[in-house]
Amino acid sequence: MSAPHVSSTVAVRPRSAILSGLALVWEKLSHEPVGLIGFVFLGLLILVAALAPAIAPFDPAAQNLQAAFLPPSWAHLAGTDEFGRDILSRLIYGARITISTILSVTLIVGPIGLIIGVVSGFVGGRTDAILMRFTDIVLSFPSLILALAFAAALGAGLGTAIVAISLTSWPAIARLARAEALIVRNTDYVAAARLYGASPLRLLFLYIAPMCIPSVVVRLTLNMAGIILTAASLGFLGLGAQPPAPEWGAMISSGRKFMLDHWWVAVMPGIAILLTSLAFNLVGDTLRDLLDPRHARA
Amino acid sequence: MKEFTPIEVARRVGQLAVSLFALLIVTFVIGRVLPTDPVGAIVGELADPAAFAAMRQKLGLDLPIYQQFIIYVGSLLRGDLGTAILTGNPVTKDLAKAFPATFELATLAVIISTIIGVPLGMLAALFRDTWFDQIARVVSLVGHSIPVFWFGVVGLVIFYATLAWVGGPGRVDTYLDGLIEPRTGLLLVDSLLEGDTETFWNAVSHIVLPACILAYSAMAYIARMTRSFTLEQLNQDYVIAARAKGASSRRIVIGHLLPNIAVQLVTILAISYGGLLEGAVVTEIVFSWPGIGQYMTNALMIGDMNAILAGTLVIGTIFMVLNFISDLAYLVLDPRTREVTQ
Amino acid sequence: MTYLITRSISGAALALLVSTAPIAKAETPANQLVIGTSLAQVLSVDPQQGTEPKTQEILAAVYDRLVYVDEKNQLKPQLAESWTVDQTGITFKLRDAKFSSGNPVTAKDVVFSLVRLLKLNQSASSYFKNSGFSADNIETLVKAVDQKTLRIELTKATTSEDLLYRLAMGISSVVDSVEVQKHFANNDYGNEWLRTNAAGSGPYVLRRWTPNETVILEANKDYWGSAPKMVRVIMRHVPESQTARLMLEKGDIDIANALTAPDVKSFVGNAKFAIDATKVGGFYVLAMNAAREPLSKPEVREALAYGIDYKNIAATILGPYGRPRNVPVPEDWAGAIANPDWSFQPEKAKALLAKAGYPNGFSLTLKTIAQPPRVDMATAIQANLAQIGVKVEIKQGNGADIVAQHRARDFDLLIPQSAAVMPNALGALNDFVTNPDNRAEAKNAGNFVWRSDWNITEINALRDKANAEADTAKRADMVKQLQEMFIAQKPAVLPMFERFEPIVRNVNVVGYSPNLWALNRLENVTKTAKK
Repeated sequence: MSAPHVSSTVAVRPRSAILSGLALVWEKLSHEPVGLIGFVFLGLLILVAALAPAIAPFDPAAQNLQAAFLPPSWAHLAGTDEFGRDILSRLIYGARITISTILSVTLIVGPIGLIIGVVSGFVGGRTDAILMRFTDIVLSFPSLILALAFAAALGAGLGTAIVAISLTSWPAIARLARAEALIVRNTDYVAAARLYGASPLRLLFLYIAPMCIPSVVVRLTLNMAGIILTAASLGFLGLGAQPPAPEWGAMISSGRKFMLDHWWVAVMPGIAILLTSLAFNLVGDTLRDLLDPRHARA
Repeated sequence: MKEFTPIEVARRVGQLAVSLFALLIVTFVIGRVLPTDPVGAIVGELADPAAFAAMRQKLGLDLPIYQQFIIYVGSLLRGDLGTAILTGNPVTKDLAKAFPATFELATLAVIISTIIGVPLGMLAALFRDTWFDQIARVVSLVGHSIPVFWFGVVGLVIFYATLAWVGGPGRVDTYLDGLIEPRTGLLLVDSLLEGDTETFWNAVSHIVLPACILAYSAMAYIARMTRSFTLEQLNQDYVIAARAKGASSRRIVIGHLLPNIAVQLVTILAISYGGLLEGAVVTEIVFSWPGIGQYMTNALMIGDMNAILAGTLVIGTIFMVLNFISDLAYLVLDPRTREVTQ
Repeated sequence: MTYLITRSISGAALALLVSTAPIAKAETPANQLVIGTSLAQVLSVDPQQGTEPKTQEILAAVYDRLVYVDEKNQLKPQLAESWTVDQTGITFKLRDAKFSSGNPVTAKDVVFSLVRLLKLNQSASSYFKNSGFSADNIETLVKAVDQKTLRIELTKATTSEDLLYRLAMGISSVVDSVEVQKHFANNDYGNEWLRTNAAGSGPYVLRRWTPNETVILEANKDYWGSAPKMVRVIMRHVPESQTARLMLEKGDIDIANALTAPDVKSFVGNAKFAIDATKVGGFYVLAMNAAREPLSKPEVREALAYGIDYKNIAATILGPYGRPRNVPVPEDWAGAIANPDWSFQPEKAKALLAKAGYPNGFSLTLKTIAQPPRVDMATAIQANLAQIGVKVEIKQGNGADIVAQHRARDFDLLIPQSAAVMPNALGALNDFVTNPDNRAEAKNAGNFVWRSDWNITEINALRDKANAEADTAKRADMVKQLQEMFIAQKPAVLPMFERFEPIVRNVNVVGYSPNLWALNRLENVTKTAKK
């Protein structure tokens, strides 16, 4: 797929390959205003999530039934919900849930997909056939439906939502990693290492796997928007984070009950999801354009 | 990926069968570990344990799992998917009713997203890196980033409640409900076959909003991929040659580009279509759309195994068959796939 | 020029949109009633099986019972023209009526239906079982004297009044024995067939039932009473309350009976709509597992009773769905005692916890069905209890899950709802004071008190005595004593709010009279001209 890019960095050591890739990204990014906005937004979001207790004006779980459904004002920038909780504070704390969901899924899916894909591509033969058949089967499962069934089977909760999403999203990574490994496997650089007597395991983890990482990272970033939406869908259906956790999807789900009279309760978390997922899409899209020559810009 | 030969096709068909069987096992196992007990939903909250045991036996839930699986596969081969607890009907009958509703919605959505997405992607490629390209990119990515359930709720409030431009939830207004005898199950088609224009337009007013919302969510992918394919073609010698000969942009696009990216587009559309069928699940809940998504969610709520299994199987099968078809299309039509992998 | 063409094209598109708009704003026809409801729980229209309220609404129209309870909770004749009560039983005279199949309604059909109820042994039969009837004795207690005369003997555990109330419930609907017997299969008393079909003598026939979609009822031409004015009644599944509200406002539906509290409230003061709240005599309950450590102590249970902000929860969350009440008899029903001092008093609650040996509180889980208003109630209770040092983790699930865990005694705290078996104090108390055998082996999972593992031998004995007492004054005394004992023992089945079932109807719908079990008859419903 991205053969030209890979072969251009073949001469250098894997670690510096990643570094130079990043440098390349940064240089090109300055010509990508939209992508840059995405990066900046994500940076801010992570900052907000990290500093939530310091930034949030109110306790996200503190109820005040007398102050329910206050419209957005200076005191409550995003209004209050049906329990009189400050929506902005809940959104800020919700960013933590969203980011930890994304990170958890990515940390599960990335290594699993990478290992299965790289092993499959490197070893080849029967192993490859079996692994890829298995991957194809999982890949062809309708993911939301399977996640629904999993969440129902394992009991509702953020943890099961993460497991359910992970179970259905590693195959895409595995396929990609395999394609990369197939190309890398035949490069001079690997052949040289082999000549020097590197063991197959060493070849696999020190020489081949690192070369596949950049494109896997791009793919993972693009996946993140999907993770947000699936997690929100599960939250919306009551199968994600449990109350009073300020999960954005669950906030929409309860807020839509008051949509006609108090629009802000459902609209605010919707905007949060939209912007975050858009930022991930922009970043992923930009990264792909920058790193994958098939999508190269002029 | 190999040459397009009968052996290769047979091999693919075999793989498809294995995949389908694996899907069957996985869904069956998930269904078995569901903590939700369908028995309680039938006999009622106040029943005594003897009534529970009797019903469990009647439904065959007291047998070991492997026996249940064998029985299930056996009846599946006879075309019997069991009886849904949810409705008391054979699941096949329920699905025959629910599926056309989803199919109608997803099909309309894929048509809309293609009509808008493909030209948008081509234009974005032709005007690459201009403001048009950037806007097209953001607009389509927004569609890809909006949670459909949220957009559905907001859309209903704006277009149904406030502006009254479209019909409300459901496939048709209540007073017209059940007047058309289903022939194809597609209400738009059936009402036209009956010559009932009132029902037809009413149904149109109901389907427009959910279809557009679904279409918007699928459009991003279609537009982005079209843009990539087009860019790739624009760098090909034949386009450069045609340009040099002074062919107009329009002629290049219609005469050269479109045929060349058609195969890739078909693949993309097949994938989007699978995604749309799935996306319909949440949309159907917001719009009270009596399709397969709503059927399955309801079934899930009471642990109705037969209904869940059958629904997953149907959607999974369509998914796999779509993948299968797009793979075959590649084998047959695209010489480059063969080249690259040889 | 091009500009003009584009303009006229978009103009045409706009005209097309506008022309479809009137269709979107439809009104229901004058001789049809459309009810927006939730059919999610309607899994069986077999009257001897389905007990869920929305099912009752269908049963009410399709079937008749011997007697019925009107909107003022008075017993009135239905299929029984008259009845005489003596020391040992009740003799009914039936009116001339026909089933929709054309078969006449006879005493044999009534016997068949009641025997069927107990032999099917579903949840529905529990109401007769706790009155002393069983699958073994039912055939000897209920007899057809002749075609039109029926005799039911009393058991030791019931009075004639109680029995009449049970005969007015949806579970006592009279089914067409000839028709149902044609569909017997595997000894199921025709359940497989009657689950999705109807064989009754009511004012309507079931034309179509599409689960989770619609129920279509059509006027029964052979109905024994005056012909229903509404030729067609459509119950439309609209699970989203806001959607149902929009449809009601736009005239797409005439009645909405599954709206959330805020949506019901939005119709307050709107002259075009009326809100009717039926007092069902049931309660929203906080069930505590009395076998588990801190909750086994009466002081702890009382501390929780002091740790809930009933007033604000009722005002902001429940609204038209209920009002605070900790005694399991609605306060305006005859024989109800005054509420104890249980209101939100965190200091008192903390003192009680300290006294019980938990000055620093403890942690509990709270299970609830993920449905309003119960799930919102749980969130509010969680915040309330946090103030007295009790950390609560909420676990929400679907109905089947939560009920299964309740039945299995697998919970710390759980929010179920009770229902009145009779529209009187004893009927409302029934779920709270019955527990004949608290041992785990008794597997009395249908019983609320058993589920909480709360041993109340004394109260249960008094409950049995009161139920069998025919003397009104003595009975009233016992009912009062029951309530006092219940409160004194710091209930593990704590009533929090009295339950109402609000519906919103277009004011042009007249004659829709709600019943406490949702057996709302529709034959007298008319529609006045729209303004």
